[in-house]
Amino acid sequence: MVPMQALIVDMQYLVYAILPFPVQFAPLAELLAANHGIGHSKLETVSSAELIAITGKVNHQKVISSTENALAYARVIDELFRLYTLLPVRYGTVANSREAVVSLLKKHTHQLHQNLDEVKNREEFSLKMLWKHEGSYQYFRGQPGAAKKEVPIPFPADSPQKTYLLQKIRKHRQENALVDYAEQLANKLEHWLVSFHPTFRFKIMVSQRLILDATMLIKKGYQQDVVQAISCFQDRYPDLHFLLTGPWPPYNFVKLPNDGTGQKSP
Amino acid sequence: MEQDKNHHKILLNRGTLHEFDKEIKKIGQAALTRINADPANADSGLAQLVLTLVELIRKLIEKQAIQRVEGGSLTEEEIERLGETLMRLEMKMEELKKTFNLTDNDLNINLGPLGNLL
Repeated sequence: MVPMQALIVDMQYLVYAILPFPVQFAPLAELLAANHGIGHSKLETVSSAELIAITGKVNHQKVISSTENALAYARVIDELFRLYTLLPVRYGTVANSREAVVSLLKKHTHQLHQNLDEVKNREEFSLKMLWKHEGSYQYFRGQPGAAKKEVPIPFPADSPQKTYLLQKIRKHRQENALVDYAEQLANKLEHWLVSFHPTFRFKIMVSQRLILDATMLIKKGYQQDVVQAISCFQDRYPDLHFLLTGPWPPYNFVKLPNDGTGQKSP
Repeated sequence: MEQDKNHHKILLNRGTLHEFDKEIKKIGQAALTRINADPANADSGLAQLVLTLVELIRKLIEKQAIQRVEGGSLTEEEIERLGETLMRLEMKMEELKKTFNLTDNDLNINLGPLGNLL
């Protein structure tokens, strides 16, 4: 997400997404007229010489962080994403005025263009892998990919202190083995999908059960092939539940250094 | 309508959505944990904050200690002492949690990219 900032005043410009020039203005105007933003706000463009920001006026006092608003924000980005390459801007990013938006676009022009090139004609998919069973540490032992032989314990459990320490060591080993397994899984997934030239982001061991949370950026037009490939990959791991979703705008592939200007959540 | 739209985003799911939902809510719970900064409960808010930090440090000490034991450089006596220290630290932590009426969940804050504390 693109972090941006501004001081807080009553009516502000909430920024939804950033698009590159050139775009065909007629369909964009039509799309913006047919949709509305958070709090039923009218959507409008604010442009610099090279970039376009899609914005909507909001009163930050009245805009609260709610599911309804988050969905309204996502809906705008989704609609735009059907037609354009874009960078979704972090939910809640506001600027005081049109000039402030233009100034932000100008300030980050180079980085935004670079980022737009990276996501051009590509869409995001999310793949979450969950252990089927509760208590994954216990279940994990003996699974394919788990350490096959138990590393000998480093000392005998001949006192309460040592017994306690050994319990900690066993847990620590199980945790490490599970992390290794999740990392192997991530590597295998990368190999499995190599023909799609994806860009990956991985979160390993999000929790004891959610061992891998992968997001991947893949060229548009390969959705069915990706689903098929992931389905075959799932067949190899009957003890994991896969949840594949998409295509999404490139929410997880927007990267711009946070220049300390921050953002304000409604 | 919105829900239908979102379901179209699900491309493959051989488990149940309920399971994912449950797990994600559990993870999200830690992210929602906030230190209680209400003036009326300043004491317990502060205790929660301090204990959260103490718990973080305790976990780090524990990890480092285990790595030292696994490294094989400690004597029997040192291992015994280390076990004793870790045991006492954990017991003390339990006492403090009881004193301030806090649970593990209260201390399980989200550390951003580092994940949850506990």
